[in-house]
Amino acid sequence: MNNRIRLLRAEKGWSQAELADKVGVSRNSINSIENGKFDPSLPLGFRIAHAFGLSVEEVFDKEDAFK
Amino acid sequence: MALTFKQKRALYDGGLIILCLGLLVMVIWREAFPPGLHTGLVIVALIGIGIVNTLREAHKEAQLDEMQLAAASFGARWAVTIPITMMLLLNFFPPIRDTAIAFLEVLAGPSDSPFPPLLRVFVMGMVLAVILQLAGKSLIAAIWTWRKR
Repeated sequence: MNNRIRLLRAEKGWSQAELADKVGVSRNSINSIENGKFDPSLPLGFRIAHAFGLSVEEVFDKEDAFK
Repeated sequence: MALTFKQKRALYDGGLIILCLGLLVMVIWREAFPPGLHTGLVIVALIGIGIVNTLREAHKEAQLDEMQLAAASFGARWAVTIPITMMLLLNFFPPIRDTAIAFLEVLAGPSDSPFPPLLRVFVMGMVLAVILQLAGKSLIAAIWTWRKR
């Protein structure tokens, strides 16, 4: 699923490891989600969005879910 | 006082090492123990190793995130293909089949072992199948994770 995690992370100046630490997953998981290779569960999606202070739809491309 | 994840892991690792060393000592210095006590202690050590190892694995798994769990699940579902592939190769691919037959002839040959040759071959086959399946599980999970980079 396409998302803006890389961009948002760059804005905050966070590394993948830092974001991983904030949402409680491994750095590899953040890398795979960022690259659109792994779709996070609903709770993890919410945790990622919450870490950036945004809604899920502002982080993840909802159009991808209907393809 | 509640133990942290690292402290618990160290506790399980330490317990497992102590039990394995204890088992090794009992197997090597068999004559140092009275026969009944020796058998009892070996059984207790084996049960202890099983319990501590299960607790250790469960503790490790509780820390996995959803992607790591997905990788482990994929690996477990497809691991059986590795022993099946190996079995097909053993049966139908002559160079591997001949190597396996040569190995089995040595295994089934004359030995001091109290176990009959057929049982030795059967046990070795079972052990190899389990090792292949476990190795296959890790390998497939690693490939799955690598493809998701």
